[in-house]
Amino acid sequence: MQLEDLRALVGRWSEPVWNEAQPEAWQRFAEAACLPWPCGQPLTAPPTWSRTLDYGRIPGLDLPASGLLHGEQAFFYERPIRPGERLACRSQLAEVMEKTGRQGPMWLLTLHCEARDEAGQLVVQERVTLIWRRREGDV
Amino acid sequence: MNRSQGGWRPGVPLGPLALPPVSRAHIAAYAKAAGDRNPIHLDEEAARAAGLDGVVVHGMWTMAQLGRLLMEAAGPHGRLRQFAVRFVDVVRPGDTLVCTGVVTDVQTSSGEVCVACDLWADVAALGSGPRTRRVVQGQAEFVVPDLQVRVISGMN
Repeated sequence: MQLEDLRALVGRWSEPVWNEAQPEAWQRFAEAACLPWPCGQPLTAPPTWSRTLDYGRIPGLDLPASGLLHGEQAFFYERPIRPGERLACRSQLAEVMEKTGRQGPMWLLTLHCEARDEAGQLVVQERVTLIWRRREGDV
Repeated sequence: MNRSQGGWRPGVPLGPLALPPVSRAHIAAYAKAAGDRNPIHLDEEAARAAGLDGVVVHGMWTMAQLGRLLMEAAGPHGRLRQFAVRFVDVVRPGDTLVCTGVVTDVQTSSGEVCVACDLWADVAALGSGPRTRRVVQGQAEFVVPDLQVRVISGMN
């Protein structure tokens, strides 16, 4: 992708994807990440579990399968996720910046993700910054 | 201890939470449970092709450990409001992490105590004295319900 192509996608949302908040998945996540389980009273998801939700694909945004680095991550919690609830998740390309680091040019992509309950109310929002290092020969 | 606001006040430390060395088994287990199979975490070649010295631990694994620090600080009835970090340096297999935080602000409203904190993860620099390498730096806010504050105060 070219920088202009990416910039043209800023503001575009993915189609929402329904995800199920299953306590079994929370437990598997907690065990894999060496976190205490169960989490919260009443039971809820580990603090960073929502990063594993499917937030859908932004049309036209072709990210490389390998090599992207995670620069920043933020969670904004409206309320705890409830066991068994369904979440409508979508993401938006919020910002694209070009920078030059120690290892050469890079693009910084900021995604805004949101998960809403069946009533349409926000449950959790995320801001994700990905680093895409550019090298000679990249197209 | 200051019993108003449940003992929370600026300067109160969170942790430290000292972890055993991160292993490749930790990385593989996390990749599977989180569905994050970016090969820079699993494949040496792919990591080098991305400009790294070798495979790196998922940033989200390290953030999960800071999440554990927050869960332990807030207690089971606590509720997170915000949690944001910057991944400032890579974590490699074999690195030993220490997660630490400090309370920066405490506000009470509607019977709830809202605690703001800075938190960070450092890698111990083996063989070069007491210096450490900062890998993650962030902030968080959590709310401790009034009920828990009374229970804790009542036990003191």
